[in-house]
Amino acid sequence: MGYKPIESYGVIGDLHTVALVGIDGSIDWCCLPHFDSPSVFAAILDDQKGGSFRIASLYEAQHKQMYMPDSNVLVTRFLSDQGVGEVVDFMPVQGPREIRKIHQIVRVVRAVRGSVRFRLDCRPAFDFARRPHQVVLEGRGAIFEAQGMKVSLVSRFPLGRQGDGVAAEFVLNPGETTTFILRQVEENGHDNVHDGVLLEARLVGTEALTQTLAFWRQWLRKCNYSGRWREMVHRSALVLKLLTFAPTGATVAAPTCGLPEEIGGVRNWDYRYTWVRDAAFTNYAFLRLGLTSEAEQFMAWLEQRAVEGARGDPLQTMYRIDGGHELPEEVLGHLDGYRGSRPVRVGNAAAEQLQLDIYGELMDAVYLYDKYGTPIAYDFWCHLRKMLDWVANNWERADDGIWEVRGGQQQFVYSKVQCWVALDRAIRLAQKRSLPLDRTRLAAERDRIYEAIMTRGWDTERRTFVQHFGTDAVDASNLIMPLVFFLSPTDPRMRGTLDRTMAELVSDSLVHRYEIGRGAGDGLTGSEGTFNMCTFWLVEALARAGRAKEARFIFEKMLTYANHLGLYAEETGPCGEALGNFPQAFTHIGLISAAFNLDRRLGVGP
Amino acid sequence: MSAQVAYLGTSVPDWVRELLSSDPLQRRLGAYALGEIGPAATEAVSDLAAALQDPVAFVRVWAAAALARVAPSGGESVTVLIAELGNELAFVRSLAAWHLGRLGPAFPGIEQALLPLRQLAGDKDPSVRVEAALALGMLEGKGAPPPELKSLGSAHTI
Repeated sequence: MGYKPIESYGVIGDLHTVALVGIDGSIDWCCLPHFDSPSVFAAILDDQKGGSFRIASLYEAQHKQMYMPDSNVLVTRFLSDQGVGEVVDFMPVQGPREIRKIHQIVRVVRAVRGSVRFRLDCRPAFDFARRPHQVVLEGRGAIFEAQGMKVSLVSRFPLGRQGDGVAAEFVLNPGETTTFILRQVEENGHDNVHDGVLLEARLVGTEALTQTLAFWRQWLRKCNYSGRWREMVHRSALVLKLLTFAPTGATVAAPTCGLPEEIGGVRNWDYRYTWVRDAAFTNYAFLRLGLTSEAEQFMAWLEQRAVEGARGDPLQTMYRIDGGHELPEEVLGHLDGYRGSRPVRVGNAAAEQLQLDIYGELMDAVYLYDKYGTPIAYDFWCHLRKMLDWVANNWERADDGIWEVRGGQQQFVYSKVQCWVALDRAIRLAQKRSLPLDRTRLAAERDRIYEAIMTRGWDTERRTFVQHFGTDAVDASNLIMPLVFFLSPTDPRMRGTLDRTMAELVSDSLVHRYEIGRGAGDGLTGSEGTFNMCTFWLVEALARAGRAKEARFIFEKMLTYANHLGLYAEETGPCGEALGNFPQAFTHIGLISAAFNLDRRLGVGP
Repeated sequence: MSAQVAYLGTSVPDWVRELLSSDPLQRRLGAYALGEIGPAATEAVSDLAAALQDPVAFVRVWAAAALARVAPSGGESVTVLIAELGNELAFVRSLAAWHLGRLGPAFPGIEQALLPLRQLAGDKDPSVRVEAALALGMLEGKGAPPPELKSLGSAHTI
């Protein structure tokens, strides 16, 4: 089958999980029933064993892909001299009160011009291709039954068995439409529902499409962004919403695992979890766009983490989407990995790292929510205060840093900046709301952090902030300093850091997060691409420093690295290829924030 | 459409064997596969014609649809499909309506199906009503149903 470029995928989802749909009509990634469940389709991690569900025209055709406007309904098109065919893919979003949890990938296939011959191949591979399954052909389709999980494929056309999957070829006449539904049903937490439910054929294809379109359009209508690059901002908002787990409001960093930061490389992580950092930034993005209900739900999730943090132990860097703490890392040695990028890992050992920055991101999220959303409750504040005590007592510790390096703890400057943010926002919030707080103590610690950064985090000779105390290596994460109001964007120290970062970490406008082999290593071999979030931070830092034209050029250039649907992975390679897990929330958050602030600085006009 | 001599990599004789299986789902698949092979499956015409008498209604419907593609000049397919519009099982009525629509306005004898399809507008089963309406759209609407966007507001079963 072969691997497609990472950027050749679109994404659909139902706020519990997603599916990646290739521009060739192949669904090569889907975990059911939730983002962090084992995979049912994982051809992106092993094109032979991983499993996929493809519907494509049998003609030699040009492929195109688009979203239906203002939605996460994806249209994959097949264009040839003989005819034009389309597959409309979406996952209906259920209401929260449904007892029976149904996860469905609906694929509406139609011939737009001429008669079009299609072929369907559906070959699931449960539990990352570790769990065998049986195929049972039924009148209304097929059931794939593995231990502990059943998935059905509803089809009007008879399906033929092909190995451990099914296949069909069919011709649609001009204008004719047919619908296939891949379905998994949970009832009372189990999926042992009657086969009749799995194969229920009365799902009304176009009605489900209408409802799903209406859901996304109504949701997007709440977005109040009206600046430049509106389409890209809206797409980013839609991606962030897709990465949100509806039952808890938690967002995953990305819905995939094992997509490499370098082709053939070893940095292949599992991002299907909720990083406090990423989720806090997501919260900021939602608030920035006026999407306060998402922020409200996430704040409830965050409050639970703050309650845990108030018990005296440091917060985990990431949690399961349901708030669970266990994310044991495991290598899936039987999978080849994307284009041979091994090992494929599930779970994430970085959860156990100490990353002090998360307190700053968390407190900033709380501060913004209190300002733009709903004033926080007293009990929440009490939990936060205990957590802040912990920060005041522990900010001098070395940690593993924002990049989760696995080469040993350091005194990372970014972590210190975010500890400063945590205490600063607490003091501001207490002041604004007249909330009880030991202001004197926290202000003293906040100022000590500031001085520590200014003395030990600053390289006088190279005129730049550095990655960690005791090194002269630069790090793009320091670009955040003016964004969190740590110091003025025009402060000579920030100007110096900007210039040094551009000289040492920027390649063709794209930003590497740090220099591999210099500063804190991640303990791994090989290299990686440029880090998209850092490029957007550079745009913002430049814009705030009064270099808006330069910022705009880099921003516009960065937009060209999105895929054909406006989606980004975590990183961009030297040939403009997407690298790392996909699509990645962090990048889309960065885009939203950069667009908002750059637009504001450019003011009215072109 | 270019003719093919196999379906899913399996040739006509093997699909004819499926058509003779004791399992009605296999017989249905065999009929469908032969229909997809089309005129290149002429050796299966007699078996498909025999399948029009299959004891299982949905097999009869699929066999009729297949025969229409393998040997379009014969008139039996339309007759069988029209008869199944009156089947007691709603899904068989719906299936027959769908297949009649798929035959298209140029298919020999298809005009006989228009009245029975119109009569299904009062069927008690909604999926039958929808399929009959869609089939009439295919047969009366110059061979093409309304574009998808236009039909978004209307019901349409798979």
